[in-house]
Amino acid sequence: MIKLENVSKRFITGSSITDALLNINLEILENEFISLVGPSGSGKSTLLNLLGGLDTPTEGKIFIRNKNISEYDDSELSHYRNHEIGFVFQEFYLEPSLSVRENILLPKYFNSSTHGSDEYADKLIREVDLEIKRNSLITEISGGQKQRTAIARALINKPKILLADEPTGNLDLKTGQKIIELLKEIHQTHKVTLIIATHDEHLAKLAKRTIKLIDGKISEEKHN
Amino acid sequence: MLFKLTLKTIRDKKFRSILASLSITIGTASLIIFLGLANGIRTATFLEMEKSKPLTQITVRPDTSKSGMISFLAGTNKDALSDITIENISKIDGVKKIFPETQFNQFASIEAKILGFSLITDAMVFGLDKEFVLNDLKNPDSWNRTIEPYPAIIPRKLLDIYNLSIATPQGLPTLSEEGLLGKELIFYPNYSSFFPSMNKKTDEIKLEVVGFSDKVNLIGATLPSGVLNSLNEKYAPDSQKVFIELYVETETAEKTPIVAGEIEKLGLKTQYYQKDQEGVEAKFQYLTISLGAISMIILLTSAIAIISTFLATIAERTKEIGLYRALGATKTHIKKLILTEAGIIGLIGSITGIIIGILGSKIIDIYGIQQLASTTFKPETIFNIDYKLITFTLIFGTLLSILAAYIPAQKASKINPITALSK
Repeated sequence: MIKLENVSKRFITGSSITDALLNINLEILENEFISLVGPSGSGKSTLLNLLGGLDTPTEGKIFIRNKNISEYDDSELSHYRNHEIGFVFQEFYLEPSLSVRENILLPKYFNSSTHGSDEYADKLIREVDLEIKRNSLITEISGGQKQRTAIARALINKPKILLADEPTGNLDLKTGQKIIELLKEIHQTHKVTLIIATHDEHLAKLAKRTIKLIDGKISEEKHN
Repeated sequence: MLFKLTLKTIRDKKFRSILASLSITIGTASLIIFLGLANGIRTATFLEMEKSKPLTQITVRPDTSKSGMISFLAGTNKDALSDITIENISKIDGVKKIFPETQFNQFASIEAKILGFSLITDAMVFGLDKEFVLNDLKNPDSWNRTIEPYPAIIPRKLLDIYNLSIATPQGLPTLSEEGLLGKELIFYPNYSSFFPSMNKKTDEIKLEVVGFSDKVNLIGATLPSGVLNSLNEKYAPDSQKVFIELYVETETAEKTPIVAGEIEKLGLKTQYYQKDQEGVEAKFQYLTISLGAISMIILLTSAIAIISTFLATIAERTKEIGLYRALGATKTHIKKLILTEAGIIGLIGSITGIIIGILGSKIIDIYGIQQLASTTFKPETIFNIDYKLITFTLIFGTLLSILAAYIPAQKASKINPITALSK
């Protein structure tokens, strides 16, 4: 489903050149649960950004269902992000002026097909256990509830791939645990390919496969 | 859905939206006031012109470029208007009626004794038929009087000249139509203060002011034709029987220029509303352009304020826009979001500006009308804010806001989601 061929990403800031990713070759199957581990600056987030269509590789090709997304123009990438990808961020990135339900529906604002989205949003709200907070503002809910909202938002357009960048990074241990459980459950019920970048060893071990990155290269790959 | 999101943004950033909207309000209000004023003055002027020259009236004069002004005024011109001229004009298709205007063919002065002051001036005296001045007479029967005091009509503009140029600067009492109506005037034939040989009052003829008119000759008093003819027979028996002007009434306003063309072919000069209108219209175009340009400068300032506000907003909303991009918003979505917001702000600002402009014009109108009260130019309003101006302002204000937000929208659409989210 996902195939990376010699993917490299280089950042140039003034005179400084950083190779965030170097010759990554990787294949991820449909409905697979992958964890990306590695120290800070190893390239985990960069890899997720490339897979999520937020950035394009300097070199190499990224195939998603046999389509080379590295050749997509801005409009195609936007469409890809909206339709094929669900993103969960460490910082949640929710709109504070909108309610939980409105935040979940946010990707629908950029989608021409909105049919049945209200009902689906309500279903997701039940699924992530936020029924009593559905009309609360983001400023009125806890960190765990925020991440639940972000997960529901990532699923609103029924994506095939769910990318999570340090989803428990801003949560306490107990709340983080619950989020991990939720992600695992969603992976199974929604049949999505789940790729999580994490420092959390417990979370990493829950994945079917763990890929370790060091200095932009795959240093280790193991099946759990 | 995008519209809903825009409304949400406007609600969340109320203060900024109000400020941006206010700049458009000021611009559109000024556009309404300035263009409404230009339109209003134009309309009032044309209405005033129509009073003195109805759309179906042509004033016919001899072509003095051939004969010279002196012979024309002295009535010795062979090309002067005569019964033959009337006969020729009456044959033209579209002519309904002809009103000849005669003049007193000698020097004359008129004296008015008002509020204890005695005013005497050289003046011309004209003669016209009742039908032509009927609407200007307080009592129509007064024009039939053939004994002294003879009925006389005073041109309204003469009152303005006296009130504005003589009475006000010299601290003399101003005159009103009501105050002058029924007053006695003394007409001195063969008397002129300009010429020493004519500086002797031989006779006194009593006149009574019976009405005021916009249509009669501006440089004197107008008496019934019959009275003037008998005065000419007595005081200027040798003078040629000619007319100073002919007022030709046409069947319809549309026929007026055609009839005038035919009259001109007879070697005569014509003057009529539609012809005057063209010249006046050109002058009003300058006024409209000038006032419009002032409004445009104000609106341009509004546009700069919009650009600046939106640029500041976008800098403030970088993360939010970055998130939208990460969630799948295209560059077009972001542009639409900003431009819709600008459109709504522009629309609200324009509607408010139109309301303020209309209210402002009403206030200025009251003041302006008060200032014109002492003149004979008394329009009902000096503003003309019609639906066309309102629609134009509404569309222009909204479009300007959208156009002004285009650069910020373009900038917003280029926001990189990764860079924005990492801020």
